[in-house]
Amino acid sequence: MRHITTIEFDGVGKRAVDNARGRVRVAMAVFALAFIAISLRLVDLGLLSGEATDKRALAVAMDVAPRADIVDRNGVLLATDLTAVSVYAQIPKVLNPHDSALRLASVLPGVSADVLERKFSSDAKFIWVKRKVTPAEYDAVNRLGLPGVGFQREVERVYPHGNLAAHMIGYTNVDGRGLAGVERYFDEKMRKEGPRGEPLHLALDIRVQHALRDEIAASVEEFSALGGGGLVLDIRTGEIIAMVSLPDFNPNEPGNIANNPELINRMSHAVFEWGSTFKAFTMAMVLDAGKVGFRDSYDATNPIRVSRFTINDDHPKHRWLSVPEVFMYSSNIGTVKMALDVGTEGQKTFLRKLGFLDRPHVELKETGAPLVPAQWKEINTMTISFGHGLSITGLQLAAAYAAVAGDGVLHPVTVLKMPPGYRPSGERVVSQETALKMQGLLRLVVEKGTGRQADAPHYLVGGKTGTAEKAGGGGYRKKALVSSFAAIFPVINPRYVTVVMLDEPKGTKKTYGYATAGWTAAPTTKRVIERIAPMLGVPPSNNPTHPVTHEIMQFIQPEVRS
Amino acid sequence: MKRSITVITLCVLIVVSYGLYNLKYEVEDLQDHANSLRAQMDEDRRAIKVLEAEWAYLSRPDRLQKLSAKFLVLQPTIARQVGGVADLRLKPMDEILAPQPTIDTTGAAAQQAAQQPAAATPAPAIPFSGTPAEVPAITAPAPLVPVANAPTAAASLEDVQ
Repeated sequence: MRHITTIEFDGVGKRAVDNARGRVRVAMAVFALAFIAISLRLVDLGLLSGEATDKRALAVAMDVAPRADIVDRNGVLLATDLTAVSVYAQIPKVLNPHDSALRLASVLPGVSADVLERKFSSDAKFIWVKRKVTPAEYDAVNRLGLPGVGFQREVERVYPHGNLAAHMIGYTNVDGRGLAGVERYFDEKMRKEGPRGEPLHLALDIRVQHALRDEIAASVEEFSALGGGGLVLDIRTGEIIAMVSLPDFNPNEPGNIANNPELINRMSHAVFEWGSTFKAFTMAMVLDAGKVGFRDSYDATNPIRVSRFTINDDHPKHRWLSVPEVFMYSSNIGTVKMALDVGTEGQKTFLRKLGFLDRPHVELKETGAPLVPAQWKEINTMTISFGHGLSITGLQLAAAYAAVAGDGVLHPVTVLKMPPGYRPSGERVVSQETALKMQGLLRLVVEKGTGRQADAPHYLVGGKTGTAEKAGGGGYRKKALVSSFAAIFPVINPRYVTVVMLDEPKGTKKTYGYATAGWTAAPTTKRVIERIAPMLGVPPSNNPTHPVTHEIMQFIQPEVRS
Repeated sequence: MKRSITVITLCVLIVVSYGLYNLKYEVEDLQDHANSLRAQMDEDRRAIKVLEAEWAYLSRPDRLQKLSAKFLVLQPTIARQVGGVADLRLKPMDEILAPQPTIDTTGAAAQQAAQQPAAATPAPAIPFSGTPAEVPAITAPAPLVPVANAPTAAASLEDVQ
């Protein structure tokens, strides 16, 4: 062991040494503190706060897809987020604007070299060269290796079914904002839910949607119509199983959709006068008021003249018609007289209860307000009774058919899938007895009346035709028709309502030039129901008719053919 | 004494700091592993999304309709072809009661015979391994036969997009 010797000083020397020792101690303390601080910070960095940076980096990587998926009622994917690559440029870093622009334009179709060069020479710091490039384009740009040009992973909304349910699903803009359909209505919800969240379950059945669109598209082409529309509604739950509007669009290419009036949703947004399809409501109203029954009859011998209008029948019989016959032959004269028996106020109240005086309530922003007469006079009552003078959407028409021919209660319609056994609340519009009578009458129209071409065998279709002339140029245009067919099936314990509508169909050789609903929308409905009934699990029936229809037969005069 | 304390302290310090840094690197390694797993999961999820979208795209009803029309003889179901249990013609009673030769009885009898001696008879001479030889005839699943024509079908599908 070595001895540590301490040296003692005296006098001036001692003081100087003491001073020096004091300074050394202070210096040591300062250094010690500094080292303690450094080691603490080291421990802090090394053990405690080291992960923070990792977490942040990961969060950016994970948060690439900000919207929830959309699926149909069977879980088929309708809309999803995929990642895509976009090309951007940081202009201050771009070395040769002219050369860079030329080379980029050469590998990116749709990008103009001149425009790009101008952008490169501008004061902007950051520009998008092209959003969402294909993998091949990405590869080509990457190979160019231009300084200042970079790639950003972006989210792309993809609709695998393209046009099929475009109006219902809608579309998003390049920043992932919903601009139409449920994408718009549930925009906030789907962003909040995120790509990993619960997808939006629509009531839509993509198979039914396809069958409906396929048949309507075929009819639109056959009759050279401007467009068409169709709906399938579950009577019990109010779920929209299918909704078609033609012409439609591809939501994957949302170019100029918003500004095109042709692409309006013809079922929820556009309003139409539906013509005779509307007579079902007049009939339900009159029967429910208890003023007339099947036994009663009306004089339809002569047209009705009111001031400058003449109300005539399309299929005139020139005789008294029983109430079922009025419906079966779609007599305007008889219907007007029935409506007058209830009166203007009664009609207004009834149509308000059916929701015809308000916008349709559904989870879509594309809804159209009805066109209601400013003054509801007797002449309005008369024309509205056979479907002219009040314009509503197809959605409202379908919901009202579900009410008057279903269980008599108007249920809210929804685009969302409801849990099994769901029974929506609703307001009673007609009695159950009236609804039963309506089922019989609608079946009568298909068995014997104007809707014979809609009779899909074994599925007990009931329905009503409607052919309306479109208003325009201060009157009605004879050649511009809206032909529609509203149907329920099966008529006994009805399950579904269908509406098929053709916008300005033209007659063909096959239809002997007729473009009326019985020749256009009715056969389309038949084909639709034949295709969708097996999908929807509606069993074919051996019943030839509805019991009420059978009962009604005694009030129908046999046709005399010459 | 003082010196030994210093030495011990130094040793402890060295060991602890070595341990600490070892631990830290171990944690870092685990963290890296976790991150790479997360990244892999992300990549997989993205791939699943792409595949799901592709599946939905390839099973579009209009495409299936075209393919069906081209390759199958199937037609849309018509009402006449749909029926319920109630529509089935019931077999007459005597046809059901009539004795029928069945394959099952022999197998079941063999099984029964095998179980009984094991439980009831105290000293069976039959070796236990003898019975399973008969049982597999009933329980063994049919061997899987690979579908031979799959590649040719896939090649011709590409015509329809």
